[in-house]
Amino acid sequence: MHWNSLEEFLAMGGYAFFVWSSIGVTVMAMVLEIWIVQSQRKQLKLHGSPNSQDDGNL
Amino acid sequence: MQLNWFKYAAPASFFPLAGKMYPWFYVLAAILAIAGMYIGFFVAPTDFQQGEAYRIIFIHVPAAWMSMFLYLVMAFYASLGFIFNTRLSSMMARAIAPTGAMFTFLALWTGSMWGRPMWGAYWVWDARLTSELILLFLYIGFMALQAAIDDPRRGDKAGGVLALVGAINVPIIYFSVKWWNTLHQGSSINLTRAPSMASIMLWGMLLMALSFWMYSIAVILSRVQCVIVERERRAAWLQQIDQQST
Repeated sequence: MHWNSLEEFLAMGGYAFFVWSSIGVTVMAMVLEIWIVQSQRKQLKLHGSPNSQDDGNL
Repeated sequence: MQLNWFKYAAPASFFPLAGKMYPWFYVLAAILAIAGMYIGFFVAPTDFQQGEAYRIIFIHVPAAWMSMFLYLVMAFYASLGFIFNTRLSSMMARAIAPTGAMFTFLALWTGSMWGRPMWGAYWVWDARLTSELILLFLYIGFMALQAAIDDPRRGDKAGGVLALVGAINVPIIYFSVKWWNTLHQGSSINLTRAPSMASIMLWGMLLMALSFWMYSIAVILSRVQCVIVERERRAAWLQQIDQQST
């Protein structure tokens, strides 16, 4: 581990904006994609969707 | 024992298989991402030239690999749909496109975030960047074309042609750094030579690539279940009506 403090880790050697926005947009895009697919499943009443009561084989 | 190669080509038999498999791929994706990001941010050392900014590589390169690989898989399923006339193949192509588009966007975004501090520009019209942007347009065009065609089988075929014609772009992206005098860095990983990057950095990148691959499989299997239900539900309903009336 070469980070001497949390501040150093967050600062990313001065490149904080570029590194953290890369990670942030990636995480947001994946969360959004999963959320969209999950809401499609819920709309179609598929198993694995929240609040579905069927056993999953439509 | 006869092996039925087409057993899972029927939407009805593939559907429950996809439903059982996809959660496991999410789990694998999460484990690999934790391992990859840990190596990338806590084990791999600081780069001599680029400082900490190079760590974007642990997302940028895996995302770019996935954007190209998913397009080839999409084109492959489209060609299976043409050869065998199996509608599940075309459904898979439809399910892949949004994820492929997402990774293409991420490759462009993270590349832009890397380019600004290193090259001084968020964007240049260099060969690799331009062909990757074209890849994004191809994904979006594929989705838009299929959305615009009402008859699903016609949409499958039209999209399939676009996917196949656009596939030429993937080797262009890959070889662009070799064929043209471009700004984007040349390949560090080759089929014939040893990698020219530190092995700990390579490991972080490979783990993230595997993670993105597992994530893609999970999302695509989940999404194809939605595509199957949307397309096949009407058929089952019609069959039930037929049974009730006879």
